[in-house]
Amino acid sequence: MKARSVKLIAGQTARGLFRNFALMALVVVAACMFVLGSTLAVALNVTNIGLQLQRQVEIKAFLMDGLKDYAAVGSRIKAVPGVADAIYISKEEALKRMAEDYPDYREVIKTLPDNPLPASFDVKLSDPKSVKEIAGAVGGIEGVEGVNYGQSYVEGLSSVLQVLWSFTALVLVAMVFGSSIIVNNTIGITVTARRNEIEIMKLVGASDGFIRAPFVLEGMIIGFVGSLLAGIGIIAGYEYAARWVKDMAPFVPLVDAAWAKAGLLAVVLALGAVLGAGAGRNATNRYLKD
Amino acid sequence: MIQLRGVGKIFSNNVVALSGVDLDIKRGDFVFLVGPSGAGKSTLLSLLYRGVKPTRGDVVVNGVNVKSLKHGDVCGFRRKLGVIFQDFKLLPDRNVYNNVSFALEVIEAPPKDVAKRVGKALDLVGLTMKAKARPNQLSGGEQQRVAIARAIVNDPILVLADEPTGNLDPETSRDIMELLSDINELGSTVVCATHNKSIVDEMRRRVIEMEHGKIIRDERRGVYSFEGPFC
Repeated sequence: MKARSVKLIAGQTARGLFRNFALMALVVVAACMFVLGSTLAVALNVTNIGLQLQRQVEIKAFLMDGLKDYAAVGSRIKAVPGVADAIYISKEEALKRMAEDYPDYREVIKTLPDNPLPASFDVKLSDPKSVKEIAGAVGGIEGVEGVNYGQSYVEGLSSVLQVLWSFTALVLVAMVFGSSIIVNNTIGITVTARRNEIEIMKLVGASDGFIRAPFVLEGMIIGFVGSLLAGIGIIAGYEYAARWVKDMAPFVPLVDAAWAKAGLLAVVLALGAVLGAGAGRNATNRYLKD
Repeated sequence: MIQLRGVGKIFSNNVVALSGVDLDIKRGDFVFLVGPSGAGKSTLLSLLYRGVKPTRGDVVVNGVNVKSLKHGDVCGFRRKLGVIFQDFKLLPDRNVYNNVSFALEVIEAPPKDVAKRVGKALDLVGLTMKAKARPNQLSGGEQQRVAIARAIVNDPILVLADEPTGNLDPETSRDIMELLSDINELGSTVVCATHNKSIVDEMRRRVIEMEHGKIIRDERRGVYSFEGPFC
C-alpha cells in the first residue's frame, strides 16, 4: 500500500473517531470491558485460591519404629514422581510439635514414660492432583509404616474446586461472548452511520481492503481506548478490593503481584482491540457483499 | 459497449424487477431510460455497474460479462464507470475538491494526476471557484455538478445517471442534462434514467421505454411518451 493511501486511510479513521457515534461506542466498549475485566480478575483469584489450597495438601509418611537409615528412605520418597520435597521429622520433633499444637495437654505429654510418636517425613507435592497415587507409592517404600494425607479433605477440595473452576470458566466464556456481541453491535452502529461513505467508495472502485481498513482501524482504536479506560478502573478497583480483603480476611490469598495486574491489563487491552477490530470488519463486510 | 441478452432479475422478496430484457447500446451513445416508477430502470442501471447480479441472462459491459465477474474484480470494473444518483451521494464533511479527489485517491491514483484531473473535472462542471465549499453550502444543482465531476474525474467510458435531475428545478435540470451531453460528446457513453419529459422531448436522443420490467419501446430519436401514427 502506498504512503498516500495510508495517509488517506488514517484520515478516514480520524474522521470516524471524532463523530458522536464513536464516543457512544467508546463508552459502551469501556463499560463492557470493565465488566469482562472484573470477571477476569475474580476468575484469576478464584483459580489462585484453589491452587493455594491444593498446594497445602501434603502427605505424612510415618516410619517404622527403630529405623536407623531414614536418609535412604527420604531419598526414595523424593524420587517418587510428583514429590517436591520430603522433610524429616524425628520422634522428638513430633512430640515437641504436639506439645505446641495442644498446649492444654503439655503436662500430660511430660508425664509420658516414653515417646509414643513415630518419626515421619512431611512430603510436599509438586503435583497435588495426584496425591492419591503418590501416597500409594510412598506407602510402598520399605521402612514406611503408613501414610496419611487427609483423604476426605483432599477429595472434597478437589470436587469443590472442580465445580468452582467450571462455573468461573462458564461465566468467563459467557462474558466474552456477551461482550463480543455488544461490542460488535455498537461498533456496527458507527459503521452503519457511515454506509453512505462505503457506498461511494464501492461506486468509485475502491477495493474491499481499502474500504475496510479505516473501519477496522477505527474499531481497533475504540476497542483499545475503551479497554484502557476500563483497565484503569479495574486496576483502581482491584487495589481497593485487595486492601479491603487484606483487612477483613487476611487469610484469603489474593493475587497482589504487579505482573498479575499488568497481565490482566494486557489481556483486557488485547481483547478490546481484537474485538473492536473484528467488529469493524464484520460491520463493513455486511456492506461489501455482492 | 453494452449487450443484454434475456436478462431477468428477481429480488429475494420475489419481486420481478426485469424480465427477458434484450438491449444493445453502442459506444458513444446517449440513451434515456424512461417509464413509470417500478418499471425496472434503476435495476437495469444497477446491473450495468454490477450493483446487483442478474438472475438470468447475460449483461456484458465493455466486453466484461458482469454476471461472471469475480467479487475481487468488481472494483477494477467500476473504475471505468461513472455513476450519478438523484440524491448526489456526497460526503458532507469534505469540500468540493476533496469529494471529487476522493474518487481518485481511493484507487491510489498518483498525486500529480489527482490535482490535474480534479481541476479539469471541476472546470468542466463550472465549479472551480467553489472548490473549497462544503456540500451544505451549495445549491442542489451545484451538488449534482460535484457528483458529476466525481463521476467523470476518472475519464469513464460509461456514465450511468439514475434520475440525476429528480431533485432539481427545470432550469437547473436543463443545465445538468447539457453537462451530460457535453460529457457524451467528449467520448463517454451515457445512459440516463429520467422522468423529465420536457428534457427528453427537447434533446431527441435514443429513448428506451420500460414497463413492468420489460422494454416496450426503443426509438433512435425518441420522445418521452410514445406518439403513434394515429395520434
